[in-house]
Amino acid sequence: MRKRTKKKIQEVLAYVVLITIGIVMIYPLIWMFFASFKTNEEIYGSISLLPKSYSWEAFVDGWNAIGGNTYAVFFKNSFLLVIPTTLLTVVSSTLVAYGFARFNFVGKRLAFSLLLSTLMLPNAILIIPRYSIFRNLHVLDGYGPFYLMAAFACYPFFTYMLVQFLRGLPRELDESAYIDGCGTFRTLIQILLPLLKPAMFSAGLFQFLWTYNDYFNSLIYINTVKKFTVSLALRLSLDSETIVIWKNVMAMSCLAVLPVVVLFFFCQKYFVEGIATSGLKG
Amino acid sequence: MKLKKIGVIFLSAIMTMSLLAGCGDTAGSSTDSAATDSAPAATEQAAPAATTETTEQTTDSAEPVTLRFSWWGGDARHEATLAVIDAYQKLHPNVTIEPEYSSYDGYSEKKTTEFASETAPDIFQIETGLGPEYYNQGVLYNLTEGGMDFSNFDAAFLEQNGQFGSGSQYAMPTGQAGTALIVNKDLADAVGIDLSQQYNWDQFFEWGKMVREYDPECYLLSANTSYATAFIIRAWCRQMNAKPIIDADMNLNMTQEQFEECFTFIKRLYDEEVCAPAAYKAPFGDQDQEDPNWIAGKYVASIGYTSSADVLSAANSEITYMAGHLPLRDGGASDGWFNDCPQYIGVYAKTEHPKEAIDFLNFFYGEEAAAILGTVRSVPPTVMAQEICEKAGTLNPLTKESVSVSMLYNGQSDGGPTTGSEVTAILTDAYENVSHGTLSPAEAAEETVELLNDYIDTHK
Repeated sequence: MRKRTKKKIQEVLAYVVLITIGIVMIYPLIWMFFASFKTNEEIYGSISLLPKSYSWEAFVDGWNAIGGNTYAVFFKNSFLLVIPTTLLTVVSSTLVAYGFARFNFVGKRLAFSLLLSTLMLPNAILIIPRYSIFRNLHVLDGYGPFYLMAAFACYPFFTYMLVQFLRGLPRELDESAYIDGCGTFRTLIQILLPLLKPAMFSAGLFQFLWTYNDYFNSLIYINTVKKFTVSLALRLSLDSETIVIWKNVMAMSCLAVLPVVVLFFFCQKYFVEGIATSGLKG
Repeated sequence: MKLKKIGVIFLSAIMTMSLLAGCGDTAGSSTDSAATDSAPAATEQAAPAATTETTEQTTDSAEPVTLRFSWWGGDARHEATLAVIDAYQKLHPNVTIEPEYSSYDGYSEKKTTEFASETAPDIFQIETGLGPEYYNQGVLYNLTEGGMDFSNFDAAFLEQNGQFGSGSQYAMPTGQAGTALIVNKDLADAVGIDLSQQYNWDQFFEWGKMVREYDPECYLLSANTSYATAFIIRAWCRQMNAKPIIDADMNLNMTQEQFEECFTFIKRLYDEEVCAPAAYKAPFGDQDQEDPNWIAGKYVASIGYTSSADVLSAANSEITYMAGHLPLRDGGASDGWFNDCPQYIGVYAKTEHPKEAIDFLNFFYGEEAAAILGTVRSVPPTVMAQEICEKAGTLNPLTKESVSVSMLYNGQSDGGPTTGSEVTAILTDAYENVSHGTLSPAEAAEETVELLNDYIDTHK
């Protein structure tokens, strides 16, 4: 009996701690949601979480943005940018990782160390040469730069992650496939891909989140407001010399985080699985 | 071992190749830019073709032209500028203006990238301090040669703003602006401080003490690092020497002793609690209107610019605000304070369509546009536009008052190397070090002079 109550107390305590931490973590999001109903004075002047009155006008005003471009355009642009980028990244990184993990070729070690060294380079250094390359390819002011980088596995982090994961998969699987008459490509598609799924999912999810939230690259590569993504659009009205109507910005920020939150909950299983397993097998 | 050797050779080969490629680029850049420019031109032609078709009756036979126009700002500025573009396009159906607007965040970084790769927009807004830097880089088009209409402008004002000592106009001021002290008149009156009269720098200490005695929660000054650096350090040199810290000929005009004196003054401002603590102000950046203490009316005055008057006074509608006078130096060589512009607008030196770009700018500074733009870029630069705004009631009285105050002084702008990005960073760091107490005034002065000399050596 005593043991049971002790256990219960422990459980209750654990939950209290978890819930408190959970609230602390999610509080900024909740605050952001309620801030979209508050006036500027309320946001700055009071610490109360709940607004004095509720009206959805901030969502309507915010959605309509300025210059005839509504957030429908910006969301469409974001998805147009993020979804192909994510798919291309997963495909190209998997192929490159397969090459590094399973085949021996001349200069493999050098190529791999080059790949790793690009991982160490900060984005700020890469951006100017990349910008010049994309200028010469005439793909600026559009999503071309993002697609191209994704299609040619220019995200060494994902390649590296998948290489590590593939190294953890037993070679015997490939060998038995070869004996059964599979080619190298078919081995990848039919034997390795199903096992790679968790790692590919986490690569895809990370890439989705990072590209969706990315501000700097979109800012540099995209000029025309019609092509702006959500992360750029959110900054449109923020300026120190004009009065910012924060509730509109907050309302749109709420909408902007929705796809990410939904995706995370939807794919949570893969997300955790991917990180856990790729870590273990590394 | 052998493999390592091969690796080293390979890597050094790559490095030499990249160096060579870097050299080759400048030589081939002329053909290069021609190639890049022709591509957008092809797409440009397709887009206006559609618009000309729909307005066939009114079209003149002029060739379709697309201009890119980029600026930063907030909602009001975006809306008004877009409306001007619309109005212009109605009059000139062959011209399409692609608006590229954003917030200031990353704006100048983006311009730098665009200049480096020759993809800058045809027309763009320029931060006042960066004007001389851009002029020296040669990215600005000579507007005088291009036939810009200056008839509405005051010649002396133009000479001070956008000519950069060249005698030709390279950038157009977007409005009149200057340094401003936005005063919470209610609190100032209650404490017994009169900022509508002329005073000197030392007066700040006496007033600061009065404010602290009146209410320990209140401070005399709200000063953010970036504005206060300009307000105190740069003005100090202008008042003492009647010259900028670094002039156009790259001479350092402020001595280490002067720097030390200035930094000692800054340290006293914080030690004697005249300014709100630096650590408290830091998280707000230059967004003083977001500081709850400003909203609650706990500062007598905020250091800023005429363009921040609007935003600062909107923070609390129950307080009466006024524009305070600016501090002078006893026996100074100059008043130091001057009237300049909040931003410039310039035309890209490598634009394909300078004629059309300048035609648009003429419209932008014309009567019709003035009525639409109002004061979204501070008090307009021409008397004509000011009258239009005043009639329409769009001129914020406080903004106007602060501009008038800044016109009382006879100082000369220190725009040039002093306001460029590198020197600004050196001065701001020094201000930060002194205000946070990490360096003593003497140490900071020594470091600053050393860094400024380094800067001068590399740029001479």
